[in-house]
Amino acid sequence: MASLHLSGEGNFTTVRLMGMALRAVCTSVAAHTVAAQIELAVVEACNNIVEHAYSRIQGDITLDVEIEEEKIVIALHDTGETMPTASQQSGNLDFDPTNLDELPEGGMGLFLMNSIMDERTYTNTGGKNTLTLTKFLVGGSDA
Amino acid sequence: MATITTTKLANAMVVTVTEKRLDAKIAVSFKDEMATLINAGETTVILDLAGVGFVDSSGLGAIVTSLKLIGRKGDLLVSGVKDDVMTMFTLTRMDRVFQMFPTTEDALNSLQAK
Repeated sequence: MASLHLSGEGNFTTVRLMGMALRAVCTSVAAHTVAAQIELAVVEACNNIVEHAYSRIQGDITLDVEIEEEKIVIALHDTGETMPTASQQSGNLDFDPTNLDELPEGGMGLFLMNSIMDERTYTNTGGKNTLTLTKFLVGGSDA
Repeated sequence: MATITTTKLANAMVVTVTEKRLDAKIAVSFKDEMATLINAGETTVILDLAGVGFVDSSGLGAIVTSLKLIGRKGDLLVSGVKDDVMTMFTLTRMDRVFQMFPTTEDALNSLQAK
């Protein structure tokens, strides 16, 4: 098992660097397309931290990646405001593609995380929020 | 810093995204630059994403905002979308919203055929 620990100030520059690093790391065990999707899911999660958890206060984002033969587990930690329970349970993206006025311009993050990752849990312990995202790998890097 | 370059053609404005990542870091700038163009009367736009390797929901949202701003006054065609970026469009079903073409040339041809 390999693991990686990254930490940085909670802003979009950090999110970008974490995404790029994560994709590179995931490419070592997962297919390129899967690595790209994992990057997208984690960037969406990190964007939520910057936009919501750290909208009024500053803090760090910490990313822990554990790579096993059959799965990649990513834990994101922040010390900002805890996401409301309701916002963690939604994640639908229903819209009529022909209705221009009603097309969504945001609110796609949770839907993408749910679509791409196999498991998602969110906890708050001792002032620290932890979002854990798991992707099960099938068939290794050539899948 | 500008996130796009523009090329004015007879029947369309080709907008090329110059950043490799259309993400939350630049989405607001990109959206503002697109709005400036559209509000100046450029309502037939081909958005060339051939140089873009990553789009998050902020970037996609900014493209949707541009489409809404153009509304029924014109067209927003998208060209050159790489496979990884196409995943974003298909997962969110935005591939059904936008007219998408392999190259800007294909997009131009489709406009000329109208």
